Parts: sequence; C-alpha cells; structure tokens
Amino acid sequence: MLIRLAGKSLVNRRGTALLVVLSMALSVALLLGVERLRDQVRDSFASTVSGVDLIVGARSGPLNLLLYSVFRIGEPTANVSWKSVERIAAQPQVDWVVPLSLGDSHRGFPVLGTSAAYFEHYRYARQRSLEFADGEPFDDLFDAVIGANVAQRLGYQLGQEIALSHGGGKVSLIDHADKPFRIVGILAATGTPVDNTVHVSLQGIEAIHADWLAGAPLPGMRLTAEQVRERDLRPRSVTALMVGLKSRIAVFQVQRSINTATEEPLLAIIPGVALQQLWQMMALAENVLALVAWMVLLVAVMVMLTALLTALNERRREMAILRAIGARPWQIFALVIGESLLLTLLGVVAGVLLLQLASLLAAPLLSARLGLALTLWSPVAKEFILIAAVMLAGLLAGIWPAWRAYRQSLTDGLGMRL
Amino acid sequence: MSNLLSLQKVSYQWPGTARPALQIEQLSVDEAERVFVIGPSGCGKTTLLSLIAGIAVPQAGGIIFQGEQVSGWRSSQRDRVRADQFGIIFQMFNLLPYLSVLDNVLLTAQFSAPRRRRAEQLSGSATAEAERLLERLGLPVELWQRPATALSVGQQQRVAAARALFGRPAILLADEPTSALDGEHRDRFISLLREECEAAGAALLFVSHDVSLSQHFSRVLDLRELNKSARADGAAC
Repeated sequence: MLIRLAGKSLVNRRGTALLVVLSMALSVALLLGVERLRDQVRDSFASTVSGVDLIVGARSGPLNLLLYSVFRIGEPTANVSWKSVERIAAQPQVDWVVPLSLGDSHRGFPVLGTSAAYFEHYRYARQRSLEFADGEPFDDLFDAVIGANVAQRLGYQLGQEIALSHGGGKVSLIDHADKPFRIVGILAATGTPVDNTVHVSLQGIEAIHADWLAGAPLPGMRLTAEQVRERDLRPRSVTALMVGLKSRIAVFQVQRSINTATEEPLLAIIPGVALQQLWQMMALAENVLALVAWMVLLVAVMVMLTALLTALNERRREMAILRAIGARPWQIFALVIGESLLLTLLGVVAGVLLLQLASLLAAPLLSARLGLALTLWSPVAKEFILIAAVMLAGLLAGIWPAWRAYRQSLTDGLGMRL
Repeated sequence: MSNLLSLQKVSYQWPGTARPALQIEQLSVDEAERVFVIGPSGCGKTTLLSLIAGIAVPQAGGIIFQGEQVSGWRSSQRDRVRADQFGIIFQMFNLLPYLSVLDNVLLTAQFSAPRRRRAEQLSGSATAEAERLLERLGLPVELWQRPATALSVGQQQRVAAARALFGRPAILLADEPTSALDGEHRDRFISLLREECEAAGAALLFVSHDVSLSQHFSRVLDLRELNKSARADGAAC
C-alpha cells in the first residue's frame, strides 16, 4: 500500500524522477559495463590461445610478440629464418610447430600464411579445435581458407577467387591481383581473431612475393601464376611460430634453449605468462575506469538526493494529510525511503537494459575489429554484488531525506505550514 | 449523552517558544454533539486540534477519549486512535493531488482496518461506501475518477468531508473548512456536514473565526475565553 502511494507520488513528479532514473541508469550501465568488459576481454583473450606451449618470434618484447602473432595487433619487428624453424622442430621435446607468416591482407582482413598443421593443432576456448563450416584445408598453392567473419561480411562462398594485397591497411596501393587465390574452405565461427583471418599456405605467400624484392615489385620482372609454380617456393622466413611440446614439463627447458640460441636472436614466450603480463599492464587502466564508474555512481546518488530533498518541501502538505489520516511517523519515513529505493531499482533495471543494448551494438564491432566475442547476458555473482551495492547506495541516500520527513511529521503537528 | 472527549487542565508549549500556546482548564464534547469553537488565528486553534488529534501531547494535564487517558499513551497508539476514530478536514488542500477523487476517500481505509470493516458492513464494500458518501455530498459520478486537482475548491472540501466521514469515525475535527468558500456554498457545506455527522453518529468539533456560522451548532465555545494563555496575552487575538 505504501509502495503504491510512493509510486503514484513519484509518477506525479515524473519529470524529475525520469532524470534521476536516467542518471542512475547511466551510472549502473557504466559500472557493470566496465566490469563486464574487463572479464570478457580477459576470457576472450585467454581463450584465443589454448594448447600452444610456446610462441616463438624475433627478439622483441613478450607482449609485442603475443599481440602481433596471435591477436594481429601491432607489427612484427623482424622475421624468423626458416633454418631456425627447422632447428626448433627438430628438438626432441617438440611435438609440432606451426609457422605463421603475416604482412599481407585482403580488404582489411589479415592474411596468414601457415601450414596445414595449423588446422590440426590450433586450439581455442579450452581445447576446441577448428571446424570447417564448409570446404576443407588448403591443398593447392593458390588455395585459401577464410574465417567466419570474412565469409559473412564479404559474402564469400566456396570457389570464389580473391586477390591479396600487400600490407595491412584497408586501402592498399599494391595488389597481388595477378595471382588470385581460390576459396576452398570456410571455418566455423570461433569468437577469436581466426574469424577475421584469410589463411593460405606458406608457399602461397612466397609465390605472390616471388617477383618482389625488399617489399616492392621488381621493375621489369613479372612472373605469371603459372611461371611461379616452377620456382623454388620453400619459405625463407616466417613471422612467428607456435610450438607444441610432447610434455609440458619441458616447457621452461625448451624456452631457455630457444632464448639463448646463438644462431639467431629469438624469443620464446609461454602464452599464459605473457597474458598475465598483459593483465598487469591493463590493471591500472582498468582500475582508473572502475574508479571513474564509482564516481559517476556517487554523482547519480547525489542527483537523487538533491531531487528527494527538494521534493520534500513540496511534499510537506502531502505528509501532513497522511499524518491526519493516521499514518505513523515511520510510515512517512518508509514512504521517502521507499521512493529512493524505487528510483534506484528503476535505475538499475534501465541501466542493465541500456548495457544490453550497448553490448548488442558493440559486439559486432568488437568481433570485427579484434575478433573478440562478447556474450550478452552473463549473470555472474559479481554483477549481482555490484547491483546490491548500488541498491545499498540508494538506500543510504534515502535515509537523510526520510529522516527529515520523519522529523517534520513530528514537529508540524496538524499545522499546515507552507 | 455520554462523554466522548474531555481536556482537563491541559497546557501545551511548542518546542522553542517562550510560553505555552494553549492552557485550558476544562473542555468536553459529548458523543454525537456538534460544537462550534470560535477562534481567530493566533489563539491556539491549531494547537488545540493537534492535541485532540493526538499529534501533540500536553506537557501538563490530561486528555480523555472514550474513557481512556489517551494523552499518556504511546504515539503509535495515539496514531491508531486517530486513524480509527477521527475524521479531519483542513482549511484547504485536503487531497493528495496524484490520487483520484475516489482513491482519496479510500485512503482512510488503507490506514485503518476497523474503518474499512465498518464501511463494508454499511455498504457491502469499501468502494461502495466511498461512492455512497460522494453521492450524498453531491459529487457527480463523472468526477470520481478524475484527479483531485481537477475539482473546484468547494468540491475538494466535500471530498475531504467524505473521506473524514468514511468508516464512521467517532468525531470530526474541522479546521476552518469553509474559509475558501463563498456564502451560499459555505452554508450548504455546513448543512451537509451536519446531516452526515448526524447520520453517522459522529461528534463534530468545528473551529472557525467566522461567528456567523455558529447558528448551525448546538453549543458554541470561545477559544479566547477557554485559553487562559491567550487571555494573559491581552487583546492580540
């Protein structure tokens, strides 16, 4: 009954109530959004590399290597010679190696040159292997396998021919249009950067650069697609390689042997360890974001407090009428506290809806840009704790005006002071 | 007629004031009696009504209601008595602006179960009793669902009367309920109030500064004489 009264009284002052709910909703959306983004980005990053024991690249920073080799963020500093690849693969503890060759693109999507072992050994999201939605792994020199996003966004189908471009940008000045690739496989969606990748064989990458030198076509020397097949297409170098060991116990030993190799300056990283470094680096930014979100909540609570206190003067008569009818002082108190709770609850509901809407809009963007998958509704305990904290803040904010209304109801008596 | 309400040697001083606002040797109202209290503003009118309604408690003396010394009771008990046995009509703005006319009358039932029961016994349901009262007080059906603010001042006062009468209270307290009404409406309102109090068996304590209204009442008291504190003050009120 009191809730009904509080609700109707609130509807009567819907202008201010709406603004309060809106500010509360924005702050709740921000608070939950920051948490959700933090968790999901971590999950998504962590699930991208699974089952890989070591990643090896030219000597730079561990984070740099992890980001460009797996997430296609940033640029590699140097390559790994094919000799080193062969040497690592020959180590007795090594089960398999998958070479990765980056640097070309197709309409903004990165092209990855690799071996057929990639489809066999790459794992994501706790040991799930890649599945083909359509077609099969590449076999011929000019075969390509595309990720789910590439297929969907460009509307590609099996058998279609595509031209690769040199460099990573969306607009590339130099095309490899003379040597088109044919799509032979489309991968099922994974929620990782694989979805955004065009996969070709290492030899394919060599072939399109056969008549190139130092990153530019050699003037006066053009090889046709047929001529290039006659050439020696053994790769000279790759960008990085993923290494799987026969036993994980050997991981530090192999890492050490690669890092201390004198033949070529190389860096081997354990993906999980590098990810931890990434989280540590991001923790500061995340904490600043979280702090801002809490500050915004504080502002929203103060907006509500202002609205409640202002309304209190207008509602003095309302309270006197209720007292005359027989309302107890605690009921007056409950009426005001109830209103603050109702406003907070509406704010929370609106905020969660707002966040869902924002996620809905942001999910395809994030998936297209970074290949990260956002799940929409993850009712984790953490979010409920945050919501409970917001409700508590709303309750606490209501105590002051409720107490003032309570005092007023005692001192005003039957007098209708205005 | 048996005694409904009596004040004995009551004295009340508002917090933060220098002297008592009200000092009354003796005042009593019988059941179903209609009493007119003349009281220009500043003579302790509001104080008197607050004391009788149990919202304020006298620092000295006692208030007896239906044979009980209610001034000694806890505030929650006094609130209960007010909800169950009192109907109060203010000078103006009696209604909650965000409720319909009918819901304003039914508000009484929400705060008092006994009054809801009495209303149900009288008319079958609380809503039926509220509608009966609105009809008796001359408010047409088409107004019942309108927001209270859509009504004229005179209509609003009649809705307030219907709310005060709902569920048969023992006494109605009216604080200048007609001051916002013009001559003809004023007399009509008082007649209605009298008739309905009579029909409901409720006493009526009507406070006003307008002596001309006293003709409607069986007993007339002058607050200037009752309130010793006001007399000491001189001709101020």
